[in-house]
Amino acid sequence: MNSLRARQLVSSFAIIMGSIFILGLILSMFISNRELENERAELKDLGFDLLGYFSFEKGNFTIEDDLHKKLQDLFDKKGFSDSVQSTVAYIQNTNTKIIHWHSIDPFTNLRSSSFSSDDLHETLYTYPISAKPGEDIIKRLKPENPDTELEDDQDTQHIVYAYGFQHSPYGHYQLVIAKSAESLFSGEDDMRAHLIILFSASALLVLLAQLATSYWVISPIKDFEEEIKRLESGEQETIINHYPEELNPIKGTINALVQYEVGQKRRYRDALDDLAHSLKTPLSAIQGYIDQEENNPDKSPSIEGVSTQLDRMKDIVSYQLRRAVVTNHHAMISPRPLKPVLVRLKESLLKVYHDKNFDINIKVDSEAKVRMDDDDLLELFGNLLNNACRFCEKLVEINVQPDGNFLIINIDDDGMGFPDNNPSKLLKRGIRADSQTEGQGIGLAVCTEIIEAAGGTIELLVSPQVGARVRIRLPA
Amino acid sequence: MRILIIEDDSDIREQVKEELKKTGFVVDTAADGKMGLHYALDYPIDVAIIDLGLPEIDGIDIIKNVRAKGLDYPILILTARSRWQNKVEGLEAGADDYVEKPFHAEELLARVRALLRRTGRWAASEMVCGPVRLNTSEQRVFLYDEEITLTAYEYKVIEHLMLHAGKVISKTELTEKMYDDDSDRDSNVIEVFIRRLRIKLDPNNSLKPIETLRGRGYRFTLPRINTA
Repeated sequence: MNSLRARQLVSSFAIIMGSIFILGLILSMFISNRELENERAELKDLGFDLLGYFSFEKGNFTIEDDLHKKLQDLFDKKGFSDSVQSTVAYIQNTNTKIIHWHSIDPFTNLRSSSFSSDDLHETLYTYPISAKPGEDIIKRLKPENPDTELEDDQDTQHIVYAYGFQHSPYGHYQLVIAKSAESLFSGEDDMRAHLIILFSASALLVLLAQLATSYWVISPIKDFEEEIKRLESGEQETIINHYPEELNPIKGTINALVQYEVGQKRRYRDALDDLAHSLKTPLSAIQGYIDQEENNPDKSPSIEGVSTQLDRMKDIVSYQLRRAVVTNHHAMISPRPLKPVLVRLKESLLKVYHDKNFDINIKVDSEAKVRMDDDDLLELFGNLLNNACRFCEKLVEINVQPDGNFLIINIDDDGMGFPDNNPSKLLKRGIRADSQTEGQGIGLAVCTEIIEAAGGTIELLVSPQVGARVRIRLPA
Repeated sequence: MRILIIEDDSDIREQVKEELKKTGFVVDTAADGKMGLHYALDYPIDVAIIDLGLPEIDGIDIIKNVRAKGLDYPILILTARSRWQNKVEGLEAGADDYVEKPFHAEELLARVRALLRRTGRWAASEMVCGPVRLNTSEQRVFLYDEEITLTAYEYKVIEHLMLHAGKVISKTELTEKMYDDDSDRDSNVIEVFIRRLRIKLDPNNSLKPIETLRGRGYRFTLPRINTA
């Protein structure tokens, strides 16, 4: 994941969804407990109402006959019936676990001390709950006798309320009231559904807000990136816009680096220009004196030797100075458009070769770019086009074609072409196609150095006009 | 022909000056950019040879100034800076050609002659007007293919008139082109040269090659044969 914005979105999405999930869970538990507490209050009231109908005599719970009708009304009102799905209640001795009364058959066997276990298994669920005297408990429980033949879902949980009391010396008893949890669960399910919708909508809104925020936060970084691209492409020389303070140190460092790089390059080239001037001017003066001496009828016999050595010195100085300014290939070089360089050179060369009736045809797309320093571009194509102009008859033509990450550039002329015998030796320093024409060997050798430094290649071929074709392949 | 050399190295300046003078040019020299600019702007120059690395004012700035003033005489850059960046900058500033240091005197002379022909719109080293043929590299003049003998001054006058054949050349301009700055100038001598040239070029008084325009100057009237 390389994008800062994607990172931020994914992380915030994960945090938001996680938070919402935990919040939902807590809320759901809270709501569930609250519902249970509501049930406790209701069942407690019901429990006290029920216990009010009973009398306790000698270990038995009795109901006055005149209260039967009222109890039945209470049962009807509170949803008691003989169905197992309905609300049930029973009174149990917590020590002996004997059931002394239950709501399925409320008015039978009240005189006996207990119901038979077998009968109970067929009619009543009992629950693993035990309330001490004075204590009331509410729980969600499964019946402890689920192997009963009663028709019910064995996984169904019930809400079970127990209230403990004692009748000394007969022991501790509890009133247990159980009811289906279905209504509670459906209420919780409804609440959960509402919560999910609410939280999903909130999550969506938060995400949208996050997107807007991320755009706002990231936009200076995007602007910064755009400016660095313009810096690389040479459209501007420093980073000029104002940025948030977190980016200012990076801006300062990049500007300092760029200025250092540009300054170094300029100082280096200026120093080389000065060196060229200081070396070549005396050489030129010596050349003048030799020329004068050569025209002298009484010239010294050694003058030719001096002249030859001077020519050698001139070549060495020219070559070394020109190759010294070739830029090493490094990361800061961005692709530069080729056509403007060729157009500048065309105009200059048409001036220089004014007396020669020929044309320079640039068949190069405006989009064609090569990854090379501006000065090197001018030096490379200056040398190549100058050679082509010098040797052509009527036409010099430049065309390009893409080749993957490279650009192939052909410089053609309709002149005499390269010598058949091993033309590639011309690319080495000091070999000239025409010994009468000064400088060609150096020019091609310098071109080779520039091209190799840029990671390209050069070939000497035959042009379609049967003249010379220089084919170079440069990183685009 | 009047040539300006702006070059700070005295050896080169003097060598080039001597070479050009030997060939018959009138030569002005300047050792720095400031003096060079003064000559370049205020003197009737036919060709300027300007070194790029000059004290006071850079060669490129001199060229830009000359062109900004509307002066269109050819300019040859003399440069030790061999990078194309420098050459293209010089040519874009308004120069017409360049010669890299170190150079041979003949190469420089050939370039100067080519530039001069360019100004007069002559494409070759030989200028032909009617039956008159002038070879600039050999400095010889022929009438109906027979060489006529001219003095150095007479050659300078006929060369300048033929270079600008069809155009009116004032007596002052001819005088300035012929004499060095420090020479005594006598414009009446021009009339003498013109009369002698008329006799040598038109012994039968049938061609009338040099026309006098009263109060304005002279014009070479014979039609150009090998105009570019």
